[in-house]
Amino acid sequence: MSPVNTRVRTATENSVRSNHTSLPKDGVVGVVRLGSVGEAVMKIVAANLQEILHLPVDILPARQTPEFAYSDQRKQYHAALILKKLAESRRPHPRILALVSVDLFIPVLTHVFGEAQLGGRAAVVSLHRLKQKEEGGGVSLDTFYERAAKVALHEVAHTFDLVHCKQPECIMRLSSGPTDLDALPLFFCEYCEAFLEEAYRRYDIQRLPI
Amino acid sequence: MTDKVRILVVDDELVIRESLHGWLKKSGYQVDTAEGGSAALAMLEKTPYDLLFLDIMMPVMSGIEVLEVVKEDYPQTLVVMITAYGSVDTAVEAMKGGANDYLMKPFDPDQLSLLTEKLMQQKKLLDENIFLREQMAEAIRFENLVGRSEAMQELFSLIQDVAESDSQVLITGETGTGKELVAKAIHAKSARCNGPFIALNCGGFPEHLLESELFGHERGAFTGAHRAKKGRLDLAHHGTLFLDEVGTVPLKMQVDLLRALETKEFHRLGGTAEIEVDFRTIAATNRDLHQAIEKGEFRQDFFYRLNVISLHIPPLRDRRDDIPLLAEHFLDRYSRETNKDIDTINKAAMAILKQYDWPGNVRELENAIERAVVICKKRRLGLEEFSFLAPHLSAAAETHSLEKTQIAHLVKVLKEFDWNITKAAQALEINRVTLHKKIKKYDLRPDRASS
Repeated sequence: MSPVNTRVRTATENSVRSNHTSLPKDGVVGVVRLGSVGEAVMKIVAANLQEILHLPVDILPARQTPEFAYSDQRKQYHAALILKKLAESRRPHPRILALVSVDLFIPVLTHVFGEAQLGGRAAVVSLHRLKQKEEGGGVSLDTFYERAAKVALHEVAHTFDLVHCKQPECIMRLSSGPTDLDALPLFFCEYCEAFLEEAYRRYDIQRLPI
Repeated sequence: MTDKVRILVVDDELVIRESLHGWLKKSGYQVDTAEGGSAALAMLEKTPYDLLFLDIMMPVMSGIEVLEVVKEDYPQTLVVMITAYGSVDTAVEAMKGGANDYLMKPFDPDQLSLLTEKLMQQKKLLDENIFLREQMAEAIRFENLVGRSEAMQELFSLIQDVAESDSQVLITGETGTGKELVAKAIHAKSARCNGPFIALNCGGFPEHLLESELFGHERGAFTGAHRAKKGRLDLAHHGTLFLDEVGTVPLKMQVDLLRALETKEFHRLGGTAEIEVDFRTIAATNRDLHQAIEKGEFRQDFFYRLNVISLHIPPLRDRRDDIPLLAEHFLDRYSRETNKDIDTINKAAMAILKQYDWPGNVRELENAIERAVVICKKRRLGLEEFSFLAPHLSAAAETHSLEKTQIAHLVKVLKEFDWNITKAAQALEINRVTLHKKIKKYDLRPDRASS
């Protein structure tokens, strides 16, 4: 399944999302880029989150690369520190997703594609390793966008308490690398879909009409 | 969902604990963390963890030391050692010590997920093995008898053969070997299994009462006999009469009993009517009846009547291989009865159980396990729960284990100096830190000094 490219609202826009007429003032998920992240990938990620999670998504104004999270020792950015900062955001959005182009790590792992607070507010996705094939060389732009949308969806779903899923056809399945990621579908299995619905009720979040 | 798998992350570095905790939680595991070996062991005492991520380099108690205890006390818990880059030698040492795998910090996420998956598969297989072992345990159980030793397997086979006949059986064996259980097994396997199993401990009654118990009495047969009462011979009609401690039956009564066994007819005390009964007799004794016959205390004709088929149950000390099996069997029973989650007996404690001579045989072992379960506050029975056996262990059975000798010596010296670490360390000619480490490692405490 290819990533969708529907229009989502930016924070400065007053226009209504293309497919939905009765949207709340603020979205449920705010997507923010930290540092040099392309406009197109931002919009595609936001559109896919909105379409698949059935939640209103806003694109927030860009911010600086999170230098505070840089580790001299690892030459990478500490994902947990970025999450902590994001969770403190004054934006009204119950969930905040950041896209970065730098490489991320958590202390115990060599790298992560993304990281999220399980049942928390913040998630972050690194585009750094998504542009490359495992065997070397670059991937097509379509593949890159699709990977970014998948990791974003997976990480945001963690903030709604979803854990890794054993179903082969589910975006919550743990992928062990970009090739695995390419094989995953861009949707949830029926179980995770149900868990997600339950989480919306638990967090009192109103989903968009299908 | 994998929410039943419990993982414990043991690392002195908070960031490692937090990040591994977070990552594993997202995979749906139940995760706890501990910042050191002592805390981890305390948690293991309460909670059955499936998998441990264990840092090798920790202050006070190293990962290798924790691993030793885990493999000893919780062999079903899988262990992955966490090691810093460049310390592969220590990791290899840990693998030799029983660790299931190791990871070098920082781990590749693919490696971590593959390893966790692999170990969970392994754990599933281990659990299936336990299930299969339990099923196999059925094969080494015969009715309520337990034993895998050759002697017991032969006994089970003999019971099966004996049960098919209707002959009188004499069971011999020391007290506590399970003579009544064997009698019950014969009854349960026999054609009389739907009839009653009536047991009488002949040694438990004075002569006049034993007679009344066996044959019953009519109203007014003796002072206090206000109502007629059926005797055990009567009650055993169509079933099995089990006469325990038959060697204590007085000579005069042996004559009456012999007649009743031969004719299957008797009359109650104070009565004249002959009562016809149909039962099978199984008798048991811990006495040497041949010797009793020689002394004139037991009638030879009565002996031959009882001893058509004889079964001997060997004492527990002659079938020590059955001790772990029996101990686990009783542990299972009493942990259920007391509603306690105790699933294992550690190696050191099992070694003590195997060493002890058990003069009271299986009954004594059962009582020991019951007592240990009642006082146990952890998930496993250890030496401290069996400290009451220590004074009875013979000098010849003393351990040759270096570790156990070390523990005994440490406890002795610590007691001598009233648990003053500085003085004890001086006497032991080691430094205080080393002594502290050993105290933690072996979980030595003044209140456990006796163990």
